[in-house]
Amino acid sequence: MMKTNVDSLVMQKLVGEVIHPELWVERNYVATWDGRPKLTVGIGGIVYNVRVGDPVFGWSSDHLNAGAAVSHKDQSRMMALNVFSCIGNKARVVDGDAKGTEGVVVGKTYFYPGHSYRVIVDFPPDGLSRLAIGDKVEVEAWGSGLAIEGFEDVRVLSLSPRLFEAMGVEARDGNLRVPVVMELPGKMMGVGVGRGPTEAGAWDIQSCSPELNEELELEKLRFGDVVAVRDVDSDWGHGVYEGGVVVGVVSHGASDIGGHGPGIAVIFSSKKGRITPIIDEGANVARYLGLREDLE
Amino acid sequence: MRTNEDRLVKQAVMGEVSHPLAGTYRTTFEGRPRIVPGMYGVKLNFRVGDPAYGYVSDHLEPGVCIVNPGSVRQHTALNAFACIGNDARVVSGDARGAAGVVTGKHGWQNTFVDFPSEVLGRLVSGDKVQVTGWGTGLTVEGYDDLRFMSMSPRLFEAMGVEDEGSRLTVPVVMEVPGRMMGSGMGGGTGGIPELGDFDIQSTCPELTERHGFSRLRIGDIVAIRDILAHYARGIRPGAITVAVVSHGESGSTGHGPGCAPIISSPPGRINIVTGESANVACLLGLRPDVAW
Repeated sequence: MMKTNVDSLVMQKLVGEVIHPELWVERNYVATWDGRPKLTVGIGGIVYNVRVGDPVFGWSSDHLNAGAAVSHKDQSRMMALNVFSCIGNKARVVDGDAKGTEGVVVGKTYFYPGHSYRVIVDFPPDGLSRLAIGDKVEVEAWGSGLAIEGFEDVRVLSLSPRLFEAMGVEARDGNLRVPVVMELPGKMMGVGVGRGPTEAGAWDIQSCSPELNEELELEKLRFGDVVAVRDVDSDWGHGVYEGGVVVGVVSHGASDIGGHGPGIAVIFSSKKGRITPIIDEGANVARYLGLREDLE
Repeated sequence: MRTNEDRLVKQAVMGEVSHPLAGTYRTTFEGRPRIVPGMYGVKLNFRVGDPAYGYVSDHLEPGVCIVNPGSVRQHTALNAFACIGNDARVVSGDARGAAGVVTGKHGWQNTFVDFPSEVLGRLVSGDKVQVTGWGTGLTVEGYDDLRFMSMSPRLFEAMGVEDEGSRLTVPVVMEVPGRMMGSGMGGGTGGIPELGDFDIQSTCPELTERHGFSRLRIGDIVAIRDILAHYARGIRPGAITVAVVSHGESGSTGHGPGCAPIISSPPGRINIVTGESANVACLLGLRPDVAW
């Protein structure tokens, strides 16, 4: 059992609302990396037939979010909601027909055009079907400031103590051994680079190069997968850093836009590379938190 | 080489001399809060041709930074249609009538105009500067699969690009591996590579040293490997994006000297040759005081 500062972490309530879908480019198509006009279905709102645990590729979509996207109309509160919500936190619908339905925070996304940050919440299908756009959802935020004894130089971000415990992270030879579904080279990281605070939104794995997608088997990725990226760091912003390791949770779908792709919400960052990724196909938030009994 | 320059529209686009902004600290890659000058306004002692590294600054912009204060579509129009090498002219204030040249772009609205030092001292925030936008849509015969952007016909001619039959030979100061490219990847909202720039990340000291980036100057033309910028900027093995260094280094993770793309090429269509004089200031004769 790893020792953390969990006893000193504040638990607080945040609230947002289920937001309406938007087009990537207002009143227009988006141009794909190879110059095709494309509509971007599935950014924001409620997505019924894709949940955490499902594949991120293969949908007629771009930047798809699974489940419900929750944000706040006020910029300052939107940032607080996004920064303080942690993956694995409990969420609950507080008004409308789905009032009382419980869900779980499973990701964070960033909508580039409106500079809007969204928390992605997974609800069971019966709750989701009663949910309406505009409904209020509260998050029981717990996890900001989480630190691991002996690993104070490793930044832990957007990670609920509940998910941390379920992941089975171990310390060995001065490193944290973190189960991940795959390891990626830093050159794959795109939009989100340079952005901070790194607790907010997601950092995209570029999926605009079909050859690289195939070579790295990106198409195996699922929503909720935990992945490691080499030679980058996300301590105080996302960027290249020789020897650094970042671990994140896949939060939105693939993209055909240059520089974009499935986004990861970062949960660990170590400039010194004090993270050893351990390949484990089951390293997915849905499995860790028991959200998808229908999946293997 | 034949281009379509006689088919390109010349149009006036307008901006105003901007004012610097401050708000809060920026956190450096080492986790240090810092407040330093850099973006917007008039720099009296920093122009195109000067080093991109070494000043106490962050995203240091050369000469004059103009922005259009109108709607989003108006300010993006200035930034998208102003091409590097275009003529600019002060149309209000004490420096009225002074002539300048567009030398770079940043973000999605900052457009840089170089003026002689004696003009810089007479410019005031709010002065209007009009640019003769000329170059959008430039094509080169036989190279329709390449994209030219933010490139004035004047700069293209001065660069000394040569046609080798199936490839263009492009002189640059240095090559940059695509993995070093940071903020600005993917471009702006519409993924229009004519807008602004993307950064050579300067926040991993070992990599900066290994690649020799600290000898870069503002205005340097660089070749970025494995990046395609036909539409939104992104990774593409074998592709090359040629770009002009527009602003200085940064301490914020994922940021650094910004490069405004001028040519995007699919794999196998560009040869790179390197030389120190591949700099906008040298090519356009803007800095006779600097040794090239």
